[in-house]
Amino acid sequence: MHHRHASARTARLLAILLLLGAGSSSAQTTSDLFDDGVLHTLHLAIHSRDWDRLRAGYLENDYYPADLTWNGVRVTNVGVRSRGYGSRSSVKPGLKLDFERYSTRGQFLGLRSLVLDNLLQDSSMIRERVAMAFLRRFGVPASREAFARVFVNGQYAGLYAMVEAVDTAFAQRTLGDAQGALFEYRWARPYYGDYLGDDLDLYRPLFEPRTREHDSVFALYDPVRELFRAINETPAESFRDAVGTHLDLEATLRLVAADTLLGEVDGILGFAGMNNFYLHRHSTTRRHQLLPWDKDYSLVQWDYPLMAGTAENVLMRRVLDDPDLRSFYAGLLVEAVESATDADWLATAAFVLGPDRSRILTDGRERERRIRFFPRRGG
Amino acid sequence: MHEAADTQERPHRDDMHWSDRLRDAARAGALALVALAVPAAGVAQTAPEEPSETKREAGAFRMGDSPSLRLGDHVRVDLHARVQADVRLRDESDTAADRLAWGNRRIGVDGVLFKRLEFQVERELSDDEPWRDVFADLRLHRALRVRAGRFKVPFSMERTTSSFDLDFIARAAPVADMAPGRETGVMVHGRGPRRLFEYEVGMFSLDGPPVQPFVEDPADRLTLTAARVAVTPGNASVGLAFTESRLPEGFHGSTRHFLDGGLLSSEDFYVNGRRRRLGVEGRWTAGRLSIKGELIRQADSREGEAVTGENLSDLVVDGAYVSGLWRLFGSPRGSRRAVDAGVRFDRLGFRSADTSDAPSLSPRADHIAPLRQDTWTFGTNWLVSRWVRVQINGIRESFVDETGLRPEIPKARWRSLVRLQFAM
Repeated sequence: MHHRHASARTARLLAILLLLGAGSSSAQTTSDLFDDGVLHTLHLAIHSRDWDRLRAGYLENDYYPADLTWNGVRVTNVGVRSRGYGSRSSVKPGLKLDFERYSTRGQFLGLRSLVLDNLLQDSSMIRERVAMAFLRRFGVPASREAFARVFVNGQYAGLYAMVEAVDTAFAQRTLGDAQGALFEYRWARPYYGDYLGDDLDLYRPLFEPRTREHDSVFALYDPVRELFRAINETPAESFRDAVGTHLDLEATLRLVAADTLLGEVDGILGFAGMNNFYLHRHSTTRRHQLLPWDKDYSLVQWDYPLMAGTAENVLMRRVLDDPDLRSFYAGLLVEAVESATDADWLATAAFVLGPDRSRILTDGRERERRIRFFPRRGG
Repeated sequence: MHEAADTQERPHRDDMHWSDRLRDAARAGALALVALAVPAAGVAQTAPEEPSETKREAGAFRMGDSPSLRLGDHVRVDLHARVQADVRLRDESDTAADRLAWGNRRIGVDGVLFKRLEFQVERELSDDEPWRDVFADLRLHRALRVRAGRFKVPFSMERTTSSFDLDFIARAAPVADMAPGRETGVMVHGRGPRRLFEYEVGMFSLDGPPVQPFVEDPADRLTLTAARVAVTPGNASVGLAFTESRLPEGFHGSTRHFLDGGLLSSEDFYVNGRRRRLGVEGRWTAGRLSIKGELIRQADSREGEAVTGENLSDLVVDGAYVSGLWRLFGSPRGSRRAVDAGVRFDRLGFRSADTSDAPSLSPRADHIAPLRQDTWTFGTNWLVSRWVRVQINGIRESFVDETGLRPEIPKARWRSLVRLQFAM
């Protein structure tokens, strides 16, 4: 009898352990997905006709349904489309996975969408990831990234960077505000933050709404117009206070300082005007904030001048004209250098890719892979 | 399209598609029926069902419900002219639409030759496809008749009722969206003694693919098989109907009411394989009251349409209506000078056969998030004379998305219409 009780107790204990084990393995989070110490594997199942059409129409934004499997987690009915600007490719298309495309309740680990960067404009394949890692380290709300080998219908499609999309889920995680207005900046011509005039339609092509799309044009763009009016027309003596009511100056200057350290040639102070950012307007404070995006041209040009673009960009020109703000910005630059060099962080970041780095860097099927930027440690 | 094809070199018989043969057979059949009818004239003298009219004059022109030409007992030709105009009193779904819209404007002839051969030719005056019914119908026996030409596929009691004889201005949504219309084909039909039962079995060549195919192939002729049987015990009638046709791979896009409601796009879902329809109909009449109803289910297969290339569950459109009509004034069965009041409820649903997965709006979802439209129609028919009818309908439409996956569902909306109709 005693033996039978002991067996039953052991069985219950085993069952509890199994349940706990199962629970822990199934409770995947976005932290697991964006664990950059792991070379992830993504499997996409997409109808062969749809995949052919996506690749043939890689310049279009047409969505196709697919199933995604990662780490034993399968999500069905995901919308997939080609993405990117200069990086679009029919051979290795950049992909956007939209989990809400076919269902307003469709999410994957709480994500509404996920970007698979084909890294075609990042010949090292690590600039984007290192840049985003530094931005996060420096306190800038920036996307999390991790490498993934992507298989489409069982065929290897290439090494991609999984990039956390800038959307309401991102805004909630980083800014605690999923209700705000979010715009993606659309580069159309060199633009340096000038006041374009009273007509709201002049701002619409530059700032494409990613949330609150059904709000009126006035509700969406009047605050944007007033932001640039303040940046351009406020007298110097009241610049800081006036602009500060429309823009989170500290957060914006922090992003610019980080970009400067990273030698970002295609960012806020880019060679062809402002580019590669999102504009977020907080739902309660109504203040705007710039959020970084697409860092594949970071760390390309070490000798990109420290003050490059500051003369053309209206905001930075006026910031540097203000003694207090200039001092604050200089402090941020110093802080950025210290953050990058602390414990040799930046120099090692390129090669510290976690336990799977050798698999990432020696994947023979990645013809695009050419690590040419970073000097080896001690080299 | 077919006229152009006739000018080309005629393909060898062995190269012709089955549906081309069917189309040719229907045309030839219509001619053959005419030819057969002439020698049958002698037999017709002893035909079992003599018309009730007892006295005729050779070559007489008569003006009954419509102008009619009669040559003794051998020929009867009736001329028809019909026109409808709709006035929108209120339309919350389309406030920009014209208030006045012309409906059908048709002229036609029908008649009987030698008591054996019936025919009908009807043409729409303002339409890209002007020819409506063009067929000949040979009666070999009460229980065996053969019809060939272009006519309505025998499916759905309401669809096979002329738009000039409907109880309400518009057909019920399930009928309008699912029941096939006119096609070219051959049909065998007949009825039992005292109309206790009737049947129809036909094969048709479809004018065009029932879906929007991914790859247009003009040579791909599609055929449709249809069958219907009904029994009529006393004042009631119950019928069962079935159709089947092949579906080319393409966009579904056949639920007009959901498309008009902006809830579905014509390119939302893919189908491939076969389309099967099943219909059940019933009618009961008691004095001044008549009640009708139909159930229709249309299932489209989706072979090889999963993201993995496997089969998906059928895409199903189904629905039903039930209506009641009460004769307020006038003879219970007459069609002259009467006033009717009626109400109809219809429901149209869009879904997939399988519901085990999470619902989705993906074109390749095994479980398509269901969508439903409920419609109430309240109507009054005023039969001013034997030629003129005025119909007034109030219609309330509402959409239901039980899953809540669609971001925007329009609110229930009202429409009210008046139809003026002249039919002779």
